[in-house]
Parts: sequence; C-alpha cells; structure tokens
Amino acid sequence: MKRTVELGFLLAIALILSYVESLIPFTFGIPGIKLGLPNLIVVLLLYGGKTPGSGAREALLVNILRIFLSGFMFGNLYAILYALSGAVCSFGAMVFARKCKCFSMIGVSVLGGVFHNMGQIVTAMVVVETFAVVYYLPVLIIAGVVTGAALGVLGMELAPYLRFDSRFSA
Amino acid sequence: MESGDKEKKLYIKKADVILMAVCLLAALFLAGGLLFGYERGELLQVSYDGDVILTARLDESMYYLITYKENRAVLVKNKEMPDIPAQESYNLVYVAGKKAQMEAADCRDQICVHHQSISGGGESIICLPHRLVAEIIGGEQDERIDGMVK
Repeated sequence: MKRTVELGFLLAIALILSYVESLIPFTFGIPGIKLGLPNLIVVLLLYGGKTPGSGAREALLVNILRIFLSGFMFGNLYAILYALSGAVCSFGAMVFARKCKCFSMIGVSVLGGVFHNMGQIVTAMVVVETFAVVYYLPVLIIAGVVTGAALGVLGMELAPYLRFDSRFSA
Repeated sequence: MESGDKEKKLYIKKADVILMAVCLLAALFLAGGLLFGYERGELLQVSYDGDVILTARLDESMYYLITYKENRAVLVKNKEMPDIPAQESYNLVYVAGKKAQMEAADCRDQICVHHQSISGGGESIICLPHRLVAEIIGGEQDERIDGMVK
C-alpha cells in the first residue's frame, strides 16, 4: 500500500516534468529532440526496486501511465503514438543496461535517450513513408547522449536525497 | 541497496564513458557517410544535340572545353583555364564549389554565358545556338563519372 502511494507521487512528478518539458521550446527545428525530463523518474525507479526486476516493473507501470495521461492532457493521439514508440525502445534499452550492471545511471540514461530518439525516427519513417528523415539521425543520437548524460548526472545527485535506498526497497 | 554499494553506484563508470564515446563516434560517422553520399549524388551532365557527352562530379574543380567540328562535339577537360580556340566554335564550362557555370562561349546571343551558375538538381544552362545543354542531375546514374568523348 505504501509503495502504491510512493509510485503515485512519482507518477505525479513525472507528469509535472512532462508539462514543464512541453513549456520549454527545446526543438532546434528538428522534430523529436526533447529534454526527456520524465525519463529521470523512470531511471530513478529502475534503480529504486529491491531487485532490478521489480524496479523495471514499477518503472514500466509509471512510464506507460505517464505517457497516456500526459498525452491526453498536453498532447493528442499522435503525440501518444510517437511517445510510445520512443518509450518502448528506450525502456527496453534501459532495462538491459540496468541488468548488465556495468553502467551507472549516466550510461542507462544515455542509452535510454539514444534509443528513444531512434524509435521516434523509425516511427516517423513509417508514418511519413520516407527515408529522408534518416538525415536527422546523427543529430538525434548526439542530442540523446547529451540529454541522457545530463539526466543521469541529475539522477545520481538526486537519488541519495530521495532516500531510494531505504524507503523504496522496504 | 546497502550504503557501501550505493557509494559505488553513484560514480560514473568506465563503461558509461565508452558508451557515450561510441554513440558520438557513430553519430559522426553516420553524418559523414550521409553527407558524402549526398555530395556524390550531385552530378553535372552535359549533352550535345541530345547525346550525353559528359557526366562529371560537381565537387571537382575543372574546366570542360567543348569544341565543335563537323557536327561533332569534342571535349577536353583541364584543371587550369584552357586557351580559347581561335578557329572553332566552343563552349567552356567551369565547375567549382559544387556549382557549374558557362565561363565562355562564342555563340551569338551569349545567353548561356550570362546565365547564373547552377547547383541544384534539375537546373540547367542551355546554349541554343550550339545545341548544348548543361544540367544538374541526381546521383542515381553513377556511370561515366569522368568525362567521355563521343
């Protein structure tokens, strides 16, 4: 029960971060570039569970709920579609990175950022039915590395203050 | 997580740095590959009386001198500005900076010489008196990269 409340809080924080992100004009004229602020919560949750496996379950739950709720509140159906395609790739990569244990939060977050952008590019290719968007890929990979690293550092700085070690493994 | 374990986890690891470096390198190589492929795609094609006499890359600085003898076009390419022929009629196409222009010609209207340089796909310079067409084409035709004399 306590855990449910905690996850609810984290979901609310993720939604606020989604909203903050939608306010910041961080596009550079290229579709798909985002700060990925809500991913901070997902990364923290991946490290929050008692075992890596339970962390992944909770992170997936919060992530999916966050996408649908923020999509209905600040976006539209296409926004949800794009976000889901990015999130599926990104989440898979992050769970894998978390499990292999050789990465810190920075590595996990960077992989998440890069794969999120690649997932969105593939979706854009399917939707627009053109190969031309592949020219965005180098820019999006670099953007994923930069934003992912920034969020990873932020996550590592925040984790001790959120007391993930004591409260969230209980 | 125990506290000792936590201390270890809160530091950036070697694998993180390697991962970021690999991603950035991959992005750079991808960008380089895409840009290279894009440049190669832009070719200059020159045709005389409907027949293609030259397909050349736009990223090579070169002078192409076309002279006309008995309804035949003779092409000579040269890195330096060639001597203007005194006896025959001619067109001199100059390629530099991914653009092509008609440097000189002895045709009577001189429209082709005054035409602005061409660089985008589909653009063309036409010298009607000499029945010469210089146009920019996409990279699909990769045959005859170097000049060919008919």
